[in-house]
Amino acid sequence: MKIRRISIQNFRGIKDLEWNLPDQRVFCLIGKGDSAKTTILEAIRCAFNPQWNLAFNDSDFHLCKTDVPIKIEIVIGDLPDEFCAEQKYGAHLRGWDKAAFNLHDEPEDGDEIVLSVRLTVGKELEPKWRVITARNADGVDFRSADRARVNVGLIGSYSEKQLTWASGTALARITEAENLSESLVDATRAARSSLDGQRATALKSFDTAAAKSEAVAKKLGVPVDDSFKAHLDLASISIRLGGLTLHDGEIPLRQLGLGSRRMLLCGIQKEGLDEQHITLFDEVELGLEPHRIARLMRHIKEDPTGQYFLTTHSPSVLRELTVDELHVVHKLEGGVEVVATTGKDLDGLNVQGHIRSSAEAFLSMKVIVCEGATEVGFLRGLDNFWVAEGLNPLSYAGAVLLDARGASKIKPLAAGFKALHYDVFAVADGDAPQQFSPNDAEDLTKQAIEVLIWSDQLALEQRAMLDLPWSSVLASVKLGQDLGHPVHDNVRSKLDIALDADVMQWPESPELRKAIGDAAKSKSSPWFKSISDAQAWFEVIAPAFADPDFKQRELASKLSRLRTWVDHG
Amino acid sequence: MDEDLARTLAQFDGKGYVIAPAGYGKTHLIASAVKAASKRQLVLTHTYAGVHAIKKKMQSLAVPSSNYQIDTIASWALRLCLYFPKTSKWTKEYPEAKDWARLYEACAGLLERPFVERLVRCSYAGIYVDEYQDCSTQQHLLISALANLLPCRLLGDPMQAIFDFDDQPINWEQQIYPHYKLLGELTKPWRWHIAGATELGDWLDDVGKRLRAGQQISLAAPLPKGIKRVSVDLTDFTNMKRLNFFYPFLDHDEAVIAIHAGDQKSKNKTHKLAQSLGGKFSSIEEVEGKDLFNFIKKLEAAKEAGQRLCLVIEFCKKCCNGVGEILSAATKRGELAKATRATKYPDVLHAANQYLACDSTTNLVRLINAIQGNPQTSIYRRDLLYRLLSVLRVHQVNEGLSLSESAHRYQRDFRHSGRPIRHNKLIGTTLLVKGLEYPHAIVLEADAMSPKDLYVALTRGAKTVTIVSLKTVLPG
Repeated sequence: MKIRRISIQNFRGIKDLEWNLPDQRVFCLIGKGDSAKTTILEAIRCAFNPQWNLAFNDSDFHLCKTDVPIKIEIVIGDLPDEFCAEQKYGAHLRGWDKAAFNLHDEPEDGDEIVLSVRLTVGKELEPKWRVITARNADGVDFRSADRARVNVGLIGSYSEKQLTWASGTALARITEAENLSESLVDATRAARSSLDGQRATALKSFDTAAAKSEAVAKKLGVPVDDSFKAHLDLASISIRLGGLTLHDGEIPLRQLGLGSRRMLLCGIQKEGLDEQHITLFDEVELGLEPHRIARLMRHIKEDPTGQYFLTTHSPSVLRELTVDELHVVHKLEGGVEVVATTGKDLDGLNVQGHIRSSAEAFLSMKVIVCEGATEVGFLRGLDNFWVAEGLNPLSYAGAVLLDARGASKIKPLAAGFKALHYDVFAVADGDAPQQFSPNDAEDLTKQAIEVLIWSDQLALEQRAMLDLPWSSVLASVKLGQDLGHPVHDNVRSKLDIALDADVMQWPESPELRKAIGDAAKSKSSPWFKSISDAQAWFEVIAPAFADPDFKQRELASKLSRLRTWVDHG
Repeated sequence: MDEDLARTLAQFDGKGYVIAPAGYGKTHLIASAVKAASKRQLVLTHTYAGVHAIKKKMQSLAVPSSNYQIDTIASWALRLCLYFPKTSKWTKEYPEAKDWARLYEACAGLLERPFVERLVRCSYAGIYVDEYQDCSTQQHLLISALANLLPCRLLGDPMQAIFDFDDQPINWEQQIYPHYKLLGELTKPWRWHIAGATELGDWLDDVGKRLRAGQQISLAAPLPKGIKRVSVDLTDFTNMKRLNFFYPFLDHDEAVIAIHAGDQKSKNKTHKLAQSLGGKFSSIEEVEGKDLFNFIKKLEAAKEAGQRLCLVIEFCKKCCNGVGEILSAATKRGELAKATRATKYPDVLHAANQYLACDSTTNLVRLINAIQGNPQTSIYRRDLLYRLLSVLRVHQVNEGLSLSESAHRYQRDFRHSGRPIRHNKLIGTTLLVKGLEYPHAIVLEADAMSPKDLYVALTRGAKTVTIVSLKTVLPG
């Protein structure tokens, strides 16, 4: 069975969610922390949980508001014949138009046949599972055995129980026994008789007490048929299913590393007797090295029997996925939204390439698209400076710096991330209008993307050398020199005047500021073209930000716009 | 041999039919075939009595209940249509008589939709339709649509195809024989063998063969054991002596059915006959209960208490003898009556006055019970009177329903519960008793019967058959 649509209302962090799923097997949910990814997995698990007494409490309600019931409605397709029969849910069949993501109350000829399953929990905290339609809104009971048939398994962070035979576990499902509890009674009997075999050692002290009791009994005339001895009472010392756990030799497998345990579970889930399964995997990367992540992801992608819902915070996982498997979860004011990374808005934006190169950005909520490494390093330095000033770091706001690797890439990247509902801020140089023009900037602004572009067709270095206090300009030249650049030659190639051998003695003039700026960013020998060099540059000029005069200038004032966006945008 | 046929049916995967004369173990054949199947079969028939009979047979043969679903064609089709009201364009939960033909068409249309096909295929592995001769053309089209999806086996007997004048029966020559394969024929008259009336069974077997061949049968003496001919003219029975042959049937407790042909004139005659017999034999009503609904309609339309009382009295007279004699003149006029010393039955008078004062259902029930319980009256249309009382009971416990709504509610249940009558000496028509079985049957005015009516009437008695006819060669 496959999930086609998920609607969630008032469940934990989700006030309202409606997600139409494309017809595929692997769904990886990404988005910044607390965007309700795990809640989506939990909702799926609850909707198909076979336990009749699944426990809910007030905190499962959105904002603990128990007056509004929890409602989880899931449309499932790819139904087994049994579910389509009149005796089961035949009267409640609905139609799913895959192409238009439309649910028809009664199937139309080209539709896939589906069922709507609804879990509601009211303030009495009692879960009710129903198969519903618009024509029969009350629906019929969605029975426990049928919920189990959907075969949903969650591999979450607390999965110790999963390597036992407790009811509902993957191990219980792949065990070929009519009645697990009955088989367990047999196991208990075996335990009893094997204990009998070791009576002389294991039960020695107990038997001594039994012998004393026997003597007392005889003295009082209580009939003794055989003889008194200590023994396991099957009625009171029965092994619970949860007590039967997977061992490797004598070692319980729960002592395996977290990653291995979770990988093993994922594999067992696939072995379920019912061929189809839906596996929920929270934070796939947990406890796994990148090479094992790759292996696990391959296992998942090559399993034709299952539908997988993954969440991740790991770039390594992202890099193993294709765009159509990625879905971005956004928490908005009115509810939660899931956006596919494919679709007509995103055609031609090469999202796949960006996932490979900029996986981190997909895991944030705010993306700062930077023209090149210089901007990235410079802004990193700025971020550190802000933290030192007592402001929140970029990461606190969920903002990530993304290297566009060229002015021409800024526009598509910024637009692409915006289309995926990220907040986007673009930082561009003004010196290559054929690659990124003021018109491009205007286009982006229209899409509610903030754009920072230096005026007078200048690049960052040029702008900085014009705006910074002279001492900071000289400090920049000195850094260039320290980094091994022939700064004298560089500058003189731009402005043919005599310059002191000691950089710090250079006299201030507008011409020299311009020449230094040109030299610093020159194509042949740029001074701060790597992230670390650019970051070092910022650290050198940081004291300028204490200068009230400088703060009025373009460099500082435009950067303060970035700050505003980070905090409020 | 029949077990072989059962296996043939179980394994057959096309469209086929079995000729199954009345009393030849058809129900048993269905149950054994279903037992031999590995997956769930849908068994359709026409009446709830039929559903019940098949269910009982399934249980006695220990067929696992997961192997079958038994239903009437009507309720199965209605249910399927109501599952998908938008697709079937059918929303009426309780169709009236005139609606059914359209319902079957809607259902046949539904069966052409791919998702319904999936539903049907997932729900059942095959179909059996019992009493196929009772199918209307629309029902046949519905079954044909089903037969396109699943192996389909029809059981029926064209010889028992009798219909009310406004129904359109299927034509076996055109609609069945060319398209369905003959899978076999039941040949042993089991009903009579089991009842210990082997001679009767064998005689009926011969009668069946002759009638099917368009030949006549002879009632000349000597007739085999269990068969009796009475030569009485029943066109007029003002001479009560002509009804004397009924009385020996009152000497035992076994059920007896006296059967008229199904034409309108004979229908009325069943009630007159019952009246003449002083209710010792009781006549039965058509399922639709036209007389009951007419009465209820009039009663609801009546504006004055006196008018209502008159209607009730008129209805009681229709069901009981001697009603006029126990009522005072004022009561009969629909007026408040005064009890005097001469009043013979003050309780009846009192009940009538109470009903005049207040036309509550409770008062109405009390009045009717006072009349029918009176030793001077004798009830001869029990079926009709008890149905009215049942409707009134529904009305009493469902305050929100009007009287006619109560009648419709009762009519729905009636299809399941059957006639509210325990009296087992009955008079009916071939149409009302087809498919039913009694120990003793009396065939009335056999001379006037069509071959099919005659065959249906003759085969109702498992132990004895008494034929009332002037001629010795039938059909006359």
